[in-house]
Amino acid sequence: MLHSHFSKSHSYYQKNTFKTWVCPSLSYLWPTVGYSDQWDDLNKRFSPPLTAKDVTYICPYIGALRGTLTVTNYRLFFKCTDRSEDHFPAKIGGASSRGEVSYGLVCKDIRNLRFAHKQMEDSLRKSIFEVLMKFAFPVSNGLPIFAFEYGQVYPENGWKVYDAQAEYKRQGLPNESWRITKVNDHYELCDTYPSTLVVPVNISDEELKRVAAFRAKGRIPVLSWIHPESQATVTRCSQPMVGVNGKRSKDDEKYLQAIMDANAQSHKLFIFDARPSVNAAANKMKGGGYESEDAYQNAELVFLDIHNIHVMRESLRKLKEVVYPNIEESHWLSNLESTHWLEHIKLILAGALRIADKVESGKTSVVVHCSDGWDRTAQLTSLAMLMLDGHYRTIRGFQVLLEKEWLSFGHRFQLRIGHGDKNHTDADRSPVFLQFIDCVWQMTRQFPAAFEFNEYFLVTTLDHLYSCLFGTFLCNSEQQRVKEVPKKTVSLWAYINSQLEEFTNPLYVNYSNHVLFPVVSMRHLELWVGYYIRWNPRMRPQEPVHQRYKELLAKRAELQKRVEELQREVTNRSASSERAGSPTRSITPVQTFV
Amino acid sequence: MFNRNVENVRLIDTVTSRRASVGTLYLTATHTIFVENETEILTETWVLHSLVFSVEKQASTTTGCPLLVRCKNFQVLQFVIPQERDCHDVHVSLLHLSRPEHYEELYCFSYNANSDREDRRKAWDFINLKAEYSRMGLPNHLWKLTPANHHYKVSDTYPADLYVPKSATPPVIMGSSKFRSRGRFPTLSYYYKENHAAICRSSQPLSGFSARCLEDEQMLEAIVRSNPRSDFMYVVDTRPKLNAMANRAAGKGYENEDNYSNIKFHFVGIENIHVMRNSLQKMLEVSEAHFPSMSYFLEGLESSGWLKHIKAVVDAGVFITKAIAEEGISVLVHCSDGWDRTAQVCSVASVLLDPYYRTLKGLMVLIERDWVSFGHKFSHRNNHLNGDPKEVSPVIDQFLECVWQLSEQFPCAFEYNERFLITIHHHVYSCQYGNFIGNNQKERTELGLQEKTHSLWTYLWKNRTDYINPLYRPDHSQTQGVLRPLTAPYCFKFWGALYNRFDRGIHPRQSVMEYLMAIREETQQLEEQLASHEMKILNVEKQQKKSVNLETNMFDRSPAVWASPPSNSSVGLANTPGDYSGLGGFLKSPYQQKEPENSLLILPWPQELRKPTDPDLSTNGDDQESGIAGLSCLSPPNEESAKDPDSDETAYSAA
Repeated sequence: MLHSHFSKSHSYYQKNTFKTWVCPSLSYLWPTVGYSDQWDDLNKRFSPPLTAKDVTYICPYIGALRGTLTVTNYRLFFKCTDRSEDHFPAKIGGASSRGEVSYGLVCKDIRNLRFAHKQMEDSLRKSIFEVLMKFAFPVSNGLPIFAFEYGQVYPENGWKVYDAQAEYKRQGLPNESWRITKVNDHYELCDTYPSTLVVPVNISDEELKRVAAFRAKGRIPVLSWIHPESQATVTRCSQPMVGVNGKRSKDDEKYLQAIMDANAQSHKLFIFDARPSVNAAANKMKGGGYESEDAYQNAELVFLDIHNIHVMRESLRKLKEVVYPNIEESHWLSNLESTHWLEHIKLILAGALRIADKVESGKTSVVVHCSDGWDRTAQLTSLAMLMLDGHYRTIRGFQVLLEKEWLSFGHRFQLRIGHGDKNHTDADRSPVFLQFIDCVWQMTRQFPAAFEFNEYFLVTTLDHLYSCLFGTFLCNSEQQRVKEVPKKTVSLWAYINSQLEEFTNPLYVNYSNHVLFPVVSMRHLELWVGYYIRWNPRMRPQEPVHQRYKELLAKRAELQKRVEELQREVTNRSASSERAGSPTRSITPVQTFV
Repeated sequence: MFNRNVENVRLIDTVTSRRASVGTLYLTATHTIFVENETEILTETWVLHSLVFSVEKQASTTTGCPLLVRCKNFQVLQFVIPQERDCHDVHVSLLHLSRPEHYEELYCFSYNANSDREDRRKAWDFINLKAEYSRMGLPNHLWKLTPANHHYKVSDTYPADLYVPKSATPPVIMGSSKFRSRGRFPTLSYYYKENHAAICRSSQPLSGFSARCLEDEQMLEAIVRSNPRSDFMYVVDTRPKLNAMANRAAGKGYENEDNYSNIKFHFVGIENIHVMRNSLQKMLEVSEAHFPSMSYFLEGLESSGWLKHIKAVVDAGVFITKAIAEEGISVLVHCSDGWDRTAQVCSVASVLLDPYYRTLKGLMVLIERDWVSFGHKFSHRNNHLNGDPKEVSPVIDQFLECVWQLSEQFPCAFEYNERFLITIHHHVYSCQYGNFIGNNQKERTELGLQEKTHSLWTYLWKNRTDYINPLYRPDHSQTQGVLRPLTAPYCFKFWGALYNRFDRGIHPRQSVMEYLMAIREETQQLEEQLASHEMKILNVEKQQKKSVNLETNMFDRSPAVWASPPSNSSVGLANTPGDYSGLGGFLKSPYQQKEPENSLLILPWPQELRKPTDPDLSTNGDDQESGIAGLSCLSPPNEESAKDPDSDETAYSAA
C-alpha cells in the first residue's frame, strides 16, 4: 500500500502511528491557534529536525496553506507562514498539477492530511519521505518507539498509580472466600494475565493449572470486582475449550461452582458471553465454544451479541468516511446509521448494564468472557465496574481501572493499535479501547456530576493511546511491559496527574456510594462530536460553557465561605451577649451538599 | 352534565408497557382526572380537555376496553376500562369535551374567573406592543404609525396599529392592500436601529401571470427609500418555488423583478402547513417507539423530514439576518397569506438579530408581535375548537423548536431555559390563558379576552425564577449582537425534552441545567443569608447596647424553602430503567437501606432547594401518570400547587 514514489498522481501512504499529539496539536493545522510552549519545546529537544520550506498543506476546511514542514522523530509539524491565498493556485486540485508532488497521511485519530510542494532537489524530497517513513513507523524500521526517548520529568511518578495488591485491599480482598495467588508470579500459568490474581479460597494452585488447560490461552476465571456488601463478584476469563465434541472439564465445573459458592446470597451464577451466539457456536470448530448449561449446574448463559474486532474496525472505517473531512449534508442521519457505530456502542453499554444489574440488584455473581477475554470482556467488565463502583469514576480511580482491567489483563494494545507498525491493514487492528472510552463518554453525558474527569481527559487519553509519547499503552501484556517500560518511559498518568485542574469536571460531586444505571436507549446515545468531528472547525462549540460552570460554582463557594464566617461571628457574638442565640439555625444547610 | 366517573380503570405506563395503576376515572367539565386508589397517598393525573388531541377506542380484550388518549403536549395515556359500555361513554364524552364548538366553552373563560377584574385587566398591559415599537426607535423620520387599519377596515387579520414607511400615503396603502391576499399589505415587523434596515412582512401579491399594481410597486419603493443607505431590497418568498408558481394560476403568486424597480427576489423553500403536519406525525411515531433500534430511530427521524424543515426555517432566518445586519438591506418576507411561514421566519430573524428577544420578556413581546398581533391563526392551527383538521399545523411549535436549537448552539446567549419554551408550548395549546385564543386581533377584541381571561405572560413572569437559564451571560460579547448559527444538518438535534416530555424513562438521569439552576438558587439564598447574618450582627451590636432582643424577627428572613422537609428530595427519582431490553422493574442500589431517598439515582443537587412549582411542566417527569412517580407525592401540598389548583395534570397529595 505504500507508494514511495512521488508520482504525479496522488500518492497516499499510511501514517500509522504517525506521532500526532494532544489537543494543542490543532496548532499545526491552524497556525493562528497558539500552541503550548511545552509541545513546541518537544520540537527542539528531540529532533534531528528535517525542515522543508514552501510546503502547501491542503486543509480540507480552509484550503491551501503555505508553510514549513518539519519532521522530527516524534511528529510532523507544519507551521503556516503565509495565509494569503493569492500565492496558491485557485483550485486545490492543483496539487497534482505538473511539477508538484503531493502526499497524504492517514492518521489514527480520524484525520487524513495532504501536503504538496514544488519539485525540490532530489535529495531533500527523498529525505523528507524517508525520514517520515522512518519515524512514523519506528517498529518496522527497527527503531525505538519515541516514548523511550522522551524522558520528561513530572512531579508524580505515574507508574505508581496502580498497585494490584492495594486495589484488591481496597475491595476488601483477600477475605474468607477469596485469596490472592502467586501461581502466575512469573507468568507461567498465563502469559497474558497479570502476576497478581484473585481466586476462590478452596481452589488450589494445582487445580488452577488444570482449569487453565481448559480455558483459551490459559485465561482462567479470576476476580475483577467484588460487591462490598453482597459479596457478588465480577469474574473474567476466556472461552472454555469445549470444541465440536462438547468436551468437559470437571475442574472447570468445580471452579465455577466455587465462584458461585463464594457468594452466599445467590444460588445461581450468570455467565455472560459477549459474543453473538452464532459466533460462539462457530468457535467450537476451532476448539473453543461456550459453557453448556448441562455441564454447569446453576449457571445461566447469556449471549450479549457484541460483534468481533473485524466488524468494529469496519464500522469505524465507515464512520470516518462519513465524518471526515466534510460531512455530506443530505442524509446525515442515515449515513450515520449505516456505520452502525452507535449500534455497537449501544450493545456494549447494554451488556455492561446487564452485568451491573445482575451483580447489584440480583446479588448474583457473574462470569464474563468472549473468545480470548481481552477485548469485549475488558470493555464489559470495566464498564460494569464503572457503573458499580464510584471509586473508578474519580480521575485516579479511572486510571486504576484502565491499568487493571485493560493493561494488566492483557488487552493487546500493541496489536490493536499497531504502534509504530507500518502494516496498517493488519487484521488485528481494532478500535476496542476507543469504543470503551466512547461508552464512558456516553455515561458522562447521562450523569454529568458523577465523574471527576471531564471530556478533555477522555480525549487526551485517546490522543496518547496513539501518540507513543508515554509508555502507558505500549506492548500487549503486563509480562511484556513489566521489565523495560516503567523504567525507560514516562506514564501518561504522570502527565495527567501533574495538571489535574485541566482534567477535572467542575460539576463533580462525590456520590461514590451510588450505582449508575445509564439509559441505553437510542434516543440517549449520540455521536461523540467532540472527538470524531473535532477536526472540523465548524463543529467547534459556539460557546464554551465550562468556564461558565466554573464561575457559577466559584461564586457559590465564595458565598458559602462568607456565610460560614459570618455565622461563626454571629454565634460568637450571641454567646458573648449572654443571649441564647439560635441553636436551631446553627447548622448551615449548605454543608449538606458540598 | 358530564360529571361522571368510572371505577377500576387501569392506566398503563406507555413507556414500559408493564406497569399499570388501578383507579377511578373522572370526567369533569374541564379535566379528565385519574385518581389512583391503590397507593396509600392519593396520586392524581389531570388532563385538560383542551389538550386532548385524539381519543381512540381500541378493540376490547378480556381485561377490558382500551382507550388511547393522545394530547397536544405529546402526553399519551392508555386507559383500560372494564366495561365496553363505559368505555364507549367516556370516548363519546371526551370527544365532545375536547372539541368545543364555541369559544366560550374554552377553559380560559372559566379558569380562575373570580379574580379581581381590575388586576386581570392590568396584567394584560404587561406586554405592550407600543412600547416595543418605541424600543426599536419607532416612529421616527423614516417610519410612521398608520391609522389605515383602525377598526380593521383594510385587513381584518392585521392588527390595528401598523408601521409603514413615511412616504407611504393612504392611497398607496389602500391600493397595495387590494393587490395582496386578504389585504395584508407590506408593513414593518422589525426595525434594526443600527443601520435603518427593516424586516417587513405581507401576504403574496395577486399578480397571477401578469397583473401589476402601481400602488404596490410604490409601496415597495417606499420601503427601499426608507432605508437611506441602500438602493434595493430583498423580497423573500418563503415558499418553495413550485408552490408559488402554482399560486399564480389562482391569480396570486409572487413579485416579478421586472415590474418592481430595485428588488431582488429570493425563494427559501419552506414547505406548507400540510407537509409540516404530516412530518410531525411521522416524527412522533418514531419518538413513541418503546425500544427503537438504531436504524429505526435514525432513519425514521430522517425520513420524517422534521429536522430538515426546522433547518429550512433557521436558514431563512439566517438569510434575512445577513441581509439586515451585514448588508444593511431591508427585506420583505411573505408566503401565501403571511401568517405562518412569514411569522416563523420574521421571528427567527429577530431572535438572531436582537439580544432583547433572547430575554424572557423579549420572547414574550416577540410572540405577541409577530404571532399574536399579526394574526397567526392559533385557533385553527392548534385546533382549539372543533374545526377543520386540515387547518391544524405545528407552525408555532416549529418556531419554538428553532429557538431551542439556537439555544443549544449558544448556551449562554439566552436568558430563558428550555423549560420556558416547553411551558409556552404547553399553554399555546392548553387554552388556560387568553393569549392564544382566536385567530386575529379583531376576533380577540370581540371576544373580550382581556376582560374575561388571564394573560399567560404575567403568570410566567411571576414564576420567572423557574425559567432562567443559569448559564446566561448578558454581558458577554458572544451573547450580544447578532448570532451566526451553524445550519448544517448535523447541527439540528431531536428535542427529546419536548416530544418525549412524559416518557420519563427516556430522560437523562442528571440534568446539568437543573443542577446549575439549583446552584443559582442556592447562591441567591446564600446572598440572603449573608444579608440576614449581617443584620443579625448589627442587631447583636444593638442588643449589646440596648439589651433588646430582635433576634426572632431575623429568622423570618431566612428563605422559606429551608423549612420544607427533605422528603421533597424524591423528585426526579421517578426514572425507570426500562428502556433497555431484558431487565424488568426497578434497579436498586445496595445502599438503599442507608439512604432510601437516594437509592436509585445520583441526585447531587440539593433536593431541598427544588421548589416543585408548576409540576405539570417539569421536564424530568414528576408529572404523574403512573405509580412509579408516587414517591414525589410524599411531599406535602406545597405552596404552589395550593395556589394553582387548576393547573392540569398536577399530582399532589391529599395525605
